[in-house]
Amino acid sequence: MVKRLSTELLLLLVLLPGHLKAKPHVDKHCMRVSVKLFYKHVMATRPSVAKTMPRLQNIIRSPREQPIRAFLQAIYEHEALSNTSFLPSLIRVKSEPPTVLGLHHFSRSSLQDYAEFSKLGSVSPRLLLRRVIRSGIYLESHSLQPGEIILFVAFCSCAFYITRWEFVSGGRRKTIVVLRIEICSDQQRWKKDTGLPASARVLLFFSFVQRGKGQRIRPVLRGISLLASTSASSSFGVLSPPILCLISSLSVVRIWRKSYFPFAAFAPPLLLEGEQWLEDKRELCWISAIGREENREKVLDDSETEVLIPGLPYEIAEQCLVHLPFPCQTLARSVSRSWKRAFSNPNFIISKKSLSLSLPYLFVHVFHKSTGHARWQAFDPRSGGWFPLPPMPGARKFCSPGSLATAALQREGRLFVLGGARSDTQSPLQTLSCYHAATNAWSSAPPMRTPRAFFAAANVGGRIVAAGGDPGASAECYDPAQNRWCGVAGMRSGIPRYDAAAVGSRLYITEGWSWPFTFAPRGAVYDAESDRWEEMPAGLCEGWTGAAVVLAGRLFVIREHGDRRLKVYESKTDTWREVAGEGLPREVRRPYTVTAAEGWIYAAGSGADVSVGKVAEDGRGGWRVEWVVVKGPAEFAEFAPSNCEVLYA
Amino acid sequence: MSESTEKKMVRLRSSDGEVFEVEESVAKVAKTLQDMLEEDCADAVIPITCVRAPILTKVIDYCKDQVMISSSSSTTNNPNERTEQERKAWGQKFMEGVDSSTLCELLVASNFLNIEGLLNLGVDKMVSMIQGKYPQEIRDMFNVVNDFTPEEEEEIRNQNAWAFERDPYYKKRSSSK
Repeated sequence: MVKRLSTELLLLLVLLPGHLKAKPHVDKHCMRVSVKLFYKHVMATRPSVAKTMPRLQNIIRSPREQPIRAFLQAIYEHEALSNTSFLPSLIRVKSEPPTVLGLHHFSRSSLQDYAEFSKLGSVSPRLLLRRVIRSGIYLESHSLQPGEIILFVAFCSCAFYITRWEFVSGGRRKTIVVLRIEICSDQQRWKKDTGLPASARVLLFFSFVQRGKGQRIRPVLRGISLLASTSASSSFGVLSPPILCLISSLSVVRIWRKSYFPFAAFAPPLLLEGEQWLEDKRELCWISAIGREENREKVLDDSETEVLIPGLPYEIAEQCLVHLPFPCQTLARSVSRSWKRAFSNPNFIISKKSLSLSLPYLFVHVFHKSTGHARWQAFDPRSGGWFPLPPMPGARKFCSPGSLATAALQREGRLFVLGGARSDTQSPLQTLSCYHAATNAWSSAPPMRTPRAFFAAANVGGRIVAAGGDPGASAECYDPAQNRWCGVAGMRSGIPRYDAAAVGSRLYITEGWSWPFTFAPRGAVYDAESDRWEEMPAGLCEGWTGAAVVLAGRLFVIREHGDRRLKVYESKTDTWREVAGEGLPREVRRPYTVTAAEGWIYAAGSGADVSVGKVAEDGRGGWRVEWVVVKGPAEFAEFAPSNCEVLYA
Repeated sequence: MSESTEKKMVRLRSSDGEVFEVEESVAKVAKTLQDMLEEDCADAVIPITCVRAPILTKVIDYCKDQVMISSSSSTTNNPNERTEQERKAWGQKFMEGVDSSTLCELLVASNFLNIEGLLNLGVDKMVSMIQGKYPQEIRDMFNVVNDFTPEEEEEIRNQNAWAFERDPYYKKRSSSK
């Protein structure tokens, strides 16, 4: 038998005794405080109902939950009778709800439910499921700070959809995802199961909490709110104010301070300040927001109003666009504003990722050998085709090739171009330019603190570290999430860059061998976790005789001279091991540039001849590489590459 | 379909009132109908409120084919069994000649009836229709309104001039200046 979800809700609503048992002091205390607060609020704002109310003492002294429920019912009935459009009432439950609440029910829904769905804009359970899973993925990929929350609202008994808010607090962007799930659209059943009128709705407030770095993001049920509408046809097409929620943890209040309360458009009439709450950590904070009709527009979700293809629900049209390969997106983006927005929507990128539709593209910075004119070209390894990127902003085109540094967040599809030397004055630059494959556009970012040229930069654990290239041998670090530079420990002594590579949380820089090869090269290792520089192990330093790439957390070097074969560094023994297979093909002429992503090495040579090598373990602890060469187009004959990165798009 | 006498039949009514009688196994390809049938919610005619008769015909064709494949694949060495390539070719043939408005309706129907395979076919078809087209062609095909201001449009074109190089619409505009 299908377990009715609404019944579960009801159980939650009346506070399962088990939940009280788990943390008797906290939960009972919290509950009493919340009821007290609510009671006072009702008494103050609704004098007519005050007479019929049971005494507060009777409610909160009771060891059982029945009086509380009766109390809520009483208020509910009063509100329904007095024609108030909505009544919020709430009660707090702390539990671990299933993330896929309601889906179980969906898959077995009857015809009536589906008929309801068709009226609600052809939302099929399958797409709903995908949406829910997608939002889960979104939450996983959203790098939460410890204690940060995402609010998650499930409307029971109305159509689902997702609303995202972005708001800025303390100079940082925060996102709130509101997901509504239809749990029961059959009014008769709803009435029977919950004992509430058919027009009543229940809101569940979940917050997603990440307790510490790297830990799983867990949903926590923060509150339940009853929502009653006197008009039975109310569809809750937009977030229906009023919203009342009880929020029960310190972390929540930090975000939900009045100043950046995301529902601020609803002018919250009753809001305890965070400080007040901080005085007694066991106390609950009550936040409410009473809305007005005219404010609804402000929270309209894009996907609710937006039309991509007339006659096709947004979900399906979006799904079609998600399947468009990256090079086709440029043209599709210029069809209309809604198409352009769809491609840049964070959800779009997430669903692309979740469907494994993001494919690697090689982005190569090429310059004309005689004119020095530079630009970025993207290479599709599957078709062998090339397409150019929009021109880089600012003075980049006057930059000496090879003097700038690049780094990438491959999976996010973001490319960073840093510093460089002006080709006319040779003075170093501070600039940082970012390219985002999702928008196919460059954006400016805060410049580095120090001008740098011929230096090392790399993505070290999601942050871009730039080191050297200035007389002070300083280093700094850019956090893409915060869009901010901060200083890190400087190198012990400046090392002219020959090559650099990031493995895990460590950045390796070597000056490389130079004629007459009598002294071993110097090298430095930056450990981002301890923010310290160390000497490079001698074996690593001496054996680093070519361009390095990192695959599967291992450092590979393509020998610059001789047969250009690969070797892999064994950190345990500080030695190198040969990689089986051919060397880098001769077709890839100097100057060449290399990078790697997920089992593949990409090398772009002069004339845009590209060689792609598949690197795999041979099962005996060794590695093997196999190369494929793709000749560059004739018009690229005069171009030579200086940097390259792989992005997934 | 005289051999289907002992098989249970299901009747479906399209939005324009036409009634289709299909075998239960065919109807069950659609997950939505399958759920309904398993819950015994569908005793009389099942109304498919958002699908017109010509579209429903096409959907039923697809379902019938799926039933044929699955029933034949259980026996070994069956000539009906398809390789990945054949399946692709079949899908292309099935979608051949489908215009944009039919395709939209087909997508809505397969979404509503929850037929994953057909939805994927439709999405692939849609992608192949959009791919390699210039914005104006896409707009004409799907009746999308161009709501960019001329300035915005110009900027997009300038940013990605390479992509528009061969766009006849673009050439006309730039030469008329």
